[in-house]
Amino acid sequence: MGYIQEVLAVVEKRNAGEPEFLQAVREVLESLEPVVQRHKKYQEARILERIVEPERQIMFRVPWMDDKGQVQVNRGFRFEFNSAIGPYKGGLRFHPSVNQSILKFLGFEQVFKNSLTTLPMGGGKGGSDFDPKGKSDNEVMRFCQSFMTELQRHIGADTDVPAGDIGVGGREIGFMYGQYKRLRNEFVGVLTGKGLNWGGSLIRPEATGYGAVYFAEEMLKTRGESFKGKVCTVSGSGNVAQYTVEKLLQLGAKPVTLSDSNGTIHDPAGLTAEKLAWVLDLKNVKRGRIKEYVAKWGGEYLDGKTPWCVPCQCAFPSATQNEINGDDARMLLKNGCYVISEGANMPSTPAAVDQFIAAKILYGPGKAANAGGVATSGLEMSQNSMRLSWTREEVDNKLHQIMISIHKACFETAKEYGQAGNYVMGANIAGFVKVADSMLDQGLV
Amino acid sequence: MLHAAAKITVVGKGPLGPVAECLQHVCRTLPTTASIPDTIACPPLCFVAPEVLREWLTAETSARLYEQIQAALAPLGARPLRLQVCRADEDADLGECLPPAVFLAQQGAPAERAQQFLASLRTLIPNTATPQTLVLSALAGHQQARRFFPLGSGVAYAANPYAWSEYIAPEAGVARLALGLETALQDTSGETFTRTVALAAVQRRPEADFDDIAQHSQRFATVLNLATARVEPCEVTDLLKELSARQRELLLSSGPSVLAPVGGDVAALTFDRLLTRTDFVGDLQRLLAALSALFHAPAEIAFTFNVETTGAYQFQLHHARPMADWPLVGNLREQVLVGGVLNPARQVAGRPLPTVARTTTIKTEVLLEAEGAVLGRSRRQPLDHLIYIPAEQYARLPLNARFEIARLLGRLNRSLPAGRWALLGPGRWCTSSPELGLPTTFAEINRAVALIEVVEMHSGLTPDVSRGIHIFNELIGTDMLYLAIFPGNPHNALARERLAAAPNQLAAVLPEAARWADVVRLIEARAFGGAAAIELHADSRRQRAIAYVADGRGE
Repeated sequence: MGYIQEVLAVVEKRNAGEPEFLQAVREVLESLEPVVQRHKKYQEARILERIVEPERQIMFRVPWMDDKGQVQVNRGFRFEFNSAIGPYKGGLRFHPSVNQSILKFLGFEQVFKNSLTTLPMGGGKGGSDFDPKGKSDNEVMRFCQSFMTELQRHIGADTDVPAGDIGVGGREIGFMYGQYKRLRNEFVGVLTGKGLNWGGSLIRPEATGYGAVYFAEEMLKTRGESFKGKVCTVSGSGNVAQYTVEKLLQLGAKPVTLSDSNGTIHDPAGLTAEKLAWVLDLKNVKRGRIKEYVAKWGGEYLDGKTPWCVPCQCAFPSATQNEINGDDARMLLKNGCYVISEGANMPSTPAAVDQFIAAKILYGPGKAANAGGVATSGLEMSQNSMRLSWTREEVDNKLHQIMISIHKACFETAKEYGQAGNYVMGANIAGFVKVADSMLDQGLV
Repeated sequence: MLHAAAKITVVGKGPLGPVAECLQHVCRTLPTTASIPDTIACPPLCFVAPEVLREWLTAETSARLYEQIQAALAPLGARPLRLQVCRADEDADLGECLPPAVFLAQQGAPAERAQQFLASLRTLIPNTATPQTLVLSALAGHQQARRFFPLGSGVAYAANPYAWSEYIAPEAGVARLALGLETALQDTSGETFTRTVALAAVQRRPEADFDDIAQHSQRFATVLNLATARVEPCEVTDLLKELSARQRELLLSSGPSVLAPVGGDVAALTFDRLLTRTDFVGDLQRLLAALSALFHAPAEIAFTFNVETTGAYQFQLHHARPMADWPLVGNLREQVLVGGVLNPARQVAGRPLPTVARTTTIKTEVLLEAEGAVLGRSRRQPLDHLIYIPAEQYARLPLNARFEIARLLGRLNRSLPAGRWALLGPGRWCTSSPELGLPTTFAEINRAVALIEVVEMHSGLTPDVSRGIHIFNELIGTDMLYLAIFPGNPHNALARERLAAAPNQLAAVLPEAARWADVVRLIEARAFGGAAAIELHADSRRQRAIAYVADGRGE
């Protein structure tokens, strides 16, 4: 049995009944085979055994009173997984399904996601089985205050900086930040996702879309090309898709599609700044369906279809998981697509990814290409620590630099391991190596 | 308080049928009911008996016919009309689904209006062999240039079939409200959202934040174009622009949005201040209580309402009857279903309503039974197919493969004809967390008539029941039934072995999906023998549902 299989066997024995966590560990460790084969130092220092174990896991009672005056009790969690490269960083999830297995799985994955951003952020995750849906604002506030009353002992701007996640939006972050401030009497960047008036960062909604385009731009540069005049298909019509299109337009590309869960609009003339402004109003203010675009601007509506049947040179899956399957991948390749940058999380099925890698096109996997959102959390932490608020241009420039760094890390790592151009391998290994080497440097802690 | 007597005319003779008779009785009784607030009134009403309606639909047009129609319409005044057709035959029952109401602009001189009316009637109403009564009511509303619309329309139920939270008492009732004509409330395409409000918990909403509220607020209203005499859609924002500041204040809310590039607020039609800062909800509750007492059963109503520039409001009641009811009685293997359930002792309109004897004893196989989480109006629904995802197989899949299953379900959703099929599978559906259930979008399941969550995943994880909260507006917008099965609980069962043994049609419908046949089972009702359909009965008032193989005997 190889080293990785031995580690997996132990992890399975020690974490029985946590299938989500076990699955995540298996996927990560198996992707690290070339690294541990080449560098025995990780095995000697038992890095894998250490990295799968959270540094600290906290579970606590969260009592609160509902609007009827009845006492309710929820359970709170914080998994401080790894702080080798910076303070623990990861979202808080409020959802009835929250349990140890799920938070451990999310916290474990967060370690490598954060590492890949090249920013000094460790990994963590937390939350509660509280469901904010159906609760009044007052109930949500009382819950958040009670939750933070305990959590504040364990977090801090240089210790652990939670963010939002499912069920934790601006309202919940605000209530928790207020309670932290009241208890600790300090105004520090202990949470990210804050309101702009009290420590939040600009460019948050834009970050993932911009980042995916910056990553693709770097991939194109490796072939001496730019976006100028390139036909691009974009799926989705939410924030990621909207700002992908905006950045593509700024860089001279010709985005021709957007979509939602019902279908795709194809505008062969290309979207323009004016058309995009209309889409932003439609989706963000009027909350309409993307098919309304065709009535206003022309083009065709592909009912029930994704954009992957539209010929393009670059594709930006920005909608949802598994939106590109094997057939879609074949179609994209056949139509001449040779750049794919994933703004969504895991939008390509394994069968699609295999085809992209085999075809040696420029394929930027989500864990690298959509790291712009996480990176902006890191930039919010930096601004809080410096007591500064950067302008849009400053944040955008820094985001650009981060995406260049992420690309470089992936590209060079893949090359080092003999798989030049394989960004999937590069991303998997680069995220791990930075954490593992830091753990080695810091001794047995 | 005594109100002015409702202006009611009946054209023709003979029985009008239970639905029309019920409304007639209500509108005669309401003005003398002390508990009814003076904000509520019946509009001028005209009941056209079946024989007369048949003549209007079939007779050659003549001056005499137009004069007859003109005389019938005269008491309704020169106002746009709401038309409702109801069955008038002996077998009709109060709980049956009614065809959607239609609306006529009715402009011009009386003779001209009579001609318009007849032409529209013959286009809109099929002339069936079944006796039908026509119920006409005059609409009050706002006129903006050529557009006419009641400020709002609503339906309300004294027993809430959408009680999604333990904080919502089902017996306190529920209302659905829309700006403009009630067409928006009848739309089950899933494209139109309306405001659903639990009457005893007005501020308790299923949405997570204001972005979610805005996403699920009404965008298009329907109005009558008086120039073209057609019903047409228009943007809610356009209608609101013409209203007074006070009216807008009562209807619109604003809240923070993370979608805007630099944050900031967005506005959405919520009716919030109308619901919380006036006695609108209290008045509705008093009306429903009075009608429920009259019917000895929970009432359902359709109404329009208008708000003056000062903020004063007025309801017009267009329809009232006991709620459709499908109670389940008996044990699992010997279920007795009573449909229609009209108590013969119930007196409405001074005489017993016709009782519909619809008792079915099921002696064939029960495929599933659920109790505790049934969301949606009570119904009896035949199913041609079940799409069944066994938890055991699904839980073994890696997370990435679960997304693949979700996309596959989306393709199945488009491949099967809309309606008459249900989804049955583990955990939450339409979740963003594949570890907890099926990560579909609603658009990937929107053609099903029922969604059945099985509250199980694997030995280490029992996902919490969603009660459909995360897709609440979509469920209502498509009239999809939601229910959850809690394996192991009383009155909750799933015939897993029978479902697993039934032939799987997946590869026949989607050949490329054959490799997923052990996870996605497309089961035809015919596979179970017996009649052609699986029968699904749901009783949201009692929070129970059952699906069984019909034995072919009918009723």
